[in-house]
Amino acid sequence: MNRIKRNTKQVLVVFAAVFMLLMGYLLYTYFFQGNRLANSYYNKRITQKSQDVVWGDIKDRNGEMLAVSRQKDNQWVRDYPHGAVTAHVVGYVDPKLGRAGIENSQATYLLGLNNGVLEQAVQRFVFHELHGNNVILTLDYRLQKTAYDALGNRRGAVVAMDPRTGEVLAMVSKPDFDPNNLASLNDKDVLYNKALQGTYPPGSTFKVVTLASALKNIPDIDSQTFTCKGYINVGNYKLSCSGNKAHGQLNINEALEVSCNTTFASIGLQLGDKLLSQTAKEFLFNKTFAWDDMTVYASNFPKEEHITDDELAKDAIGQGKVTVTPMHMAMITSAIANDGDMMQPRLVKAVENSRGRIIRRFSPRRYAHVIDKPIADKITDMMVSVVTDGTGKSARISGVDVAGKTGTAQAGGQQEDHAWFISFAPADNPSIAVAVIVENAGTGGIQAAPIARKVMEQALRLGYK
Amino acid sequence: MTYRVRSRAWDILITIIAFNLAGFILLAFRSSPIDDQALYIAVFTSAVYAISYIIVISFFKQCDEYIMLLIFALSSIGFIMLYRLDAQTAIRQVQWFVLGISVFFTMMILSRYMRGLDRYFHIYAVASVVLLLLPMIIGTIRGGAKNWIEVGGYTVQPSEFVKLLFILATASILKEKRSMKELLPLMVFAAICMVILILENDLGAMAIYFAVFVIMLYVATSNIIYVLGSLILAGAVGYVAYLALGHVRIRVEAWLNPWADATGRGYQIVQSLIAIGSGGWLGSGLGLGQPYIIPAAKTDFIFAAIAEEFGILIAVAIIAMYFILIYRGMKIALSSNDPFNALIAIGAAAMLGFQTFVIIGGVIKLIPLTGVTLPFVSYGGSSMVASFMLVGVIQSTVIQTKPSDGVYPEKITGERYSESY
Repeated sequence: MNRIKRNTKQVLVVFAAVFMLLMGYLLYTYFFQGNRLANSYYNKRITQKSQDVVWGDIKDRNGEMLAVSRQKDNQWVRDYPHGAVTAHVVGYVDPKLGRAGIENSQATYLLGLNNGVLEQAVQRFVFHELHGNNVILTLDYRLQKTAYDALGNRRGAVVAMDPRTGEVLAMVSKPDFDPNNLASLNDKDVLYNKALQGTYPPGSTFKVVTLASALKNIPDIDSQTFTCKGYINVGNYKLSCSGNKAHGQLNINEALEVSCNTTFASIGLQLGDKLLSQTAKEFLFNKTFAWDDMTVYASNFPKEEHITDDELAKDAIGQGKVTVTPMHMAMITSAIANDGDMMQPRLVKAVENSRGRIIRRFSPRRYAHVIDKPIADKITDMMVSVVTDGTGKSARISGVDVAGKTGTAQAGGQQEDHAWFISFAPADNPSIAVAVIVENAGTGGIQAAPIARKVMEQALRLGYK
Repeated sequence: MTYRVRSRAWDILITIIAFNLAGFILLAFRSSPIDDQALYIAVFTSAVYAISYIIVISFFKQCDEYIMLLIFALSSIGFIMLYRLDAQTAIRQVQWFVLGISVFFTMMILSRYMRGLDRYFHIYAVASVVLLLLPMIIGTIRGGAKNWIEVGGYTVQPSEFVKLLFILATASILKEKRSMKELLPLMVFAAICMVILILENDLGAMAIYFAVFVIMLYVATSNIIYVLGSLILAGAVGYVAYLALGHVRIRVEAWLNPWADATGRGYQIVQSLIAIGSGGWLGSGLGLGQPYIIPAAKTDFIFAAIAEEFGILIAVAIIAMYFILIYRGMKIALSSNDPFNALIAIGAAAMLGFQTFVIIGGVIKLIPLTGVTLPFVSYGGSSMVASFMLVGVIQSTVIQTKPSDGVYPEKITGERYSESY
């Protein structure tokens, strides 16, 4: 009998553990996924609720209306005052196309699905109409418009964020569409938000990652001298500098200034696949970001066991199999600007109820510490000289130190290269970080850098300090 | 001291009745004119709780009244949720509850006179196998599993009732026999039961029977080799089933990534998770959510429906209540001085516990989904009556352990109370 009793106690302990697991998993699921689950495209509550609730407004950080519900012939319709300019961020609600953007990810707030019983009772009995909550974005419409106009009719994306808080101030994807007139849409590809979901080879902008790895892992990197003959042979592969130009003798600072491919390829080989992919991992490559207000597709860095030397050389200069999203590039830039701390990018600043009272405020969140401050400072200094003396001269702003890096990424086949530019300003106390890609446009320093400059100038003029 | 303890239990009963009344009153006010049917059910179920409780504390003093209170609380949440989803279903569920508790009291009365239940292994075994085979012969298919039969206009699920027989059969052998040879008939019996359940596609029931069997085997023999052997066997069978049976593979895949086919194979689990995510910590409020969107919300997925309207905190509390129920059941086993009685109490408590784990785990995507009921909460007559039978067999062992001199074992009057407060 005693053995039975002892064993029974053991069984009871196992049951206790199993039931704790049930509780823990339920809490985990709700705590970490609840919001995304509730906003899911498959949540029929949203479709049902939208018939008897007036959708809340979407505003920018200064109260500029980006999506409003207004009455037309006794029916509530959704109106987007700034149409195509904010189309990809704000998104749409459409019976055929479904939902996208903030209209999708914040649907539970916009419909007041998580309003308390009291709030629902007040609305039902005092106002006789159910109103959702208003969502206030981190976006600044004025900066959004600048970025939108600067990119013009070219295909590509612009992301601007405050590196200290992760607040996304502008996010543009082109080609765009008019959310007020979805019925006349011919090509569904325009709906796709390239800033979050477009993956491109980063080209030379990736050199900041290689540089970070070198500064961390190669102790004497500062004193090393490299000789560029305009090309380098890696096995049977010949990797050359832009225009086969021989840069001659240079140190690492000068190599970044002129964006010397052979130097960075040889640094990549010096580091080896382990260290370079370790740094790429620290910069959060190969990770899908699934946040409540946006989903950013995973950037890619090849798995270390599959890297051959010639591939490693290509990866180190952002070609080969490396791909990146514009948002991720903005995050990397912001991390360098913010002493190595990568903030979680955010689109939603706060939620207010239909009477204008703030019911939820979202605060900045440090997402990862990707590099140490001394390394971040060194990279910043080198990026400043890229703009003052190197390939990024067209991003110069008078009276302000700008840090930047150009990228000209081979797009494959006979296509024109993708033009990249990443930058932040002011270099000593950054308040704005920008990533720009212009598809098949040519050289980053010529095509992309001026766009970044316009955005940074406008941000500084608007008082982001 | 006794007075204080009783009054504490009374407080719990009054709280449950207050909850029950509040829930139904809220539902009554949903429509205008007021739905007085809801009020009648509220009064009736509250009266059933009060009367049952008085019967327990008056005539079956040895019984654990907290187990009864837990059942009342769980069934009340079930009634309210079912009434909110469909009034007619809730009324039938109340009928099943009354039938179940009647069966419970009948068992309690009979257990005063019944002795030597441990001598009928062959009867239990044959009855189990026959009952399990019935659906294959005269059964109807429901929800992909062929485990139902029709009796006088009602559909009955024999595997629910075999639970008790299975426990009795297993305990009859395990109470004294330890060697491999002596255990052989039991092994054969258990294997036959599992095979029938697999053939009937009732994987949830099979998992529960298997787990209970392994638990009882371990408790009786202390032999970890049996347990490991069984687990390895289960793993092998499970893997073969995964490879060979299409519907098993579908379930596992729907579990691993329900979003890959969110409108098809993953539909149930996706909708369940969305419901859990939509409610919030305190729920949308009774009648204010849309739990009717969840497939099988009245039966398998009632936990998701409760999580949506009552909130995550209540859902967590429900899991805790089930654990306390199992804990008190096992505590009765610990107080028993008879191996047979201890084994059936452990078996029945484990049966309820593992069934709860399987269905809640499936609904929250912790484990692959298999359709079983949430005891005392999900709609279903077979399930309600069978759950009461399991509690009945646990409680009746206390009556059987009553010593001849009429003094109840020490834990019943003293230790239990001092430990509770």
